[in-house]
Amino acid sequence: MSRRYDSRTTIFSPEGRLYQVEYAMEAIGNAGSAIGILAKDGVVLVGEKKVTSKLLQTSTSTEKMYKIDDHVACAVAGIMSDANILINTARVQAQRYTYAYQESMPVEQLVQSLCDTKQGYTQFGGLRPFGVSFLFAGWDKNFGFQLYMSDPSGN
Amino acid sequence: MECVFGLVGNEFAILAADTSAVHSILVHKSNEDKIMLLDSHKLVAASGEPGDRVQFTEYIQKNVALYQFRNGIPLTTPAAANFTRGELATALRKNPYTVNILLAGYDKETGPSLYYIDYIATLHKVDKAAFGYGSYFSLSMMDRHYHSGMSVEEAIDLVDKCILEIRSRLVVAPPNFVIKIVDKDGAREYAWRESVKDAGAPVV
Repeated sequence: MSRRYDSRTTIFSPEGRLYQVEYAMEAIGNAGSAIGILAKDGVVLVGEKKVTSKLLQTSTSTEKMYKIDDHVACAVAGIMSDANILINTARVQAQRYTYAYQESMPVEQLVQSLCDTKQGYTQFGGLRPFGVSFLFAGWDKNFGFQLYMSDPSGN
Repeated sequence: MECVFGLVGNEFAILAADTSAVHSILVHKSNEDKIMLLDSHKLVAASGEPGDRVQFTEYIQKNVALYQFRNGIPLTTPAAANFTRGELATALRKNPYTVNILLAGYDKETGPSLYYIDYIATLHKVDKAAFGYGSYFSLSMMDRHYHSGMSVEEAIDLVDKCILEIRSRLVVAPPNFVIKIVDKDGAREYAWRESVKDAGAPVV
């Protein structure tokens, strides 16, 4: 493990790894789980709400699940503040599509465009990657019910 | 002046356009095809300033193709129509395109559709539409004879009636027309209606 190569996000290690991306995935490992199951007639998303501190009010908020558009929702695992930025980006992208085409954005395209955003942070700008993984659940007329997973690398 | 019109029939849509390319009093050519294949199941008939017409329709055509390459699925006709309208609307406040468009398409789930998009980005989904001076005559003929669910023969007959009306009543009537059809088997040229052929090389 060469520690020399892990402080800059945009550099490969000699073994061909991006350490910052892998460390981001480590950060997610410590978060509460999220599970998604694709069924014939729907998609189920489950999120574990971890109690981080007894001082915090047991929230009735949907801190794990977010609606991106009327036909797409996601479950989040990782650093919540990072997740909020990405969720907002996803919402804007969905609406921008509907503004241009007057139709709902196909789920695969929405996930694709969000992953393209995340990939940018592993290649340029010198900024760290997002420490969030997503499970996207949605429906569109092309492929019906769908479930997608995406991680900090943008895959 | 340019005449473009179209109508929706039973599981198909038809577009007809004149084929004269005119500059002031000179006719450059009388076999200019103004109906473009937007993709396998969409047609775009455009009228207006010649440079803008070709530039804008090709721009839309390439963007539609790009969408299909990127996403593996074609755009639906309403999506393509709204996208076109959006591009016209965006350009409107800076340097507008003077192009009027009739977009006809066939979608497997929803059947044939026709969209009227004018140069200031008006969008209407319609059963029959027309642009140009010829519209005065073709719309009247279509209002009189059109009914929903026409067969191809009935629709072509109506198109011919419109062309006849334009030829006999419009002072600078274009002599030749092209008719294209789009249905479940795709978009394709149906026929030409020529009353003047371009003069070929003189026989010596």
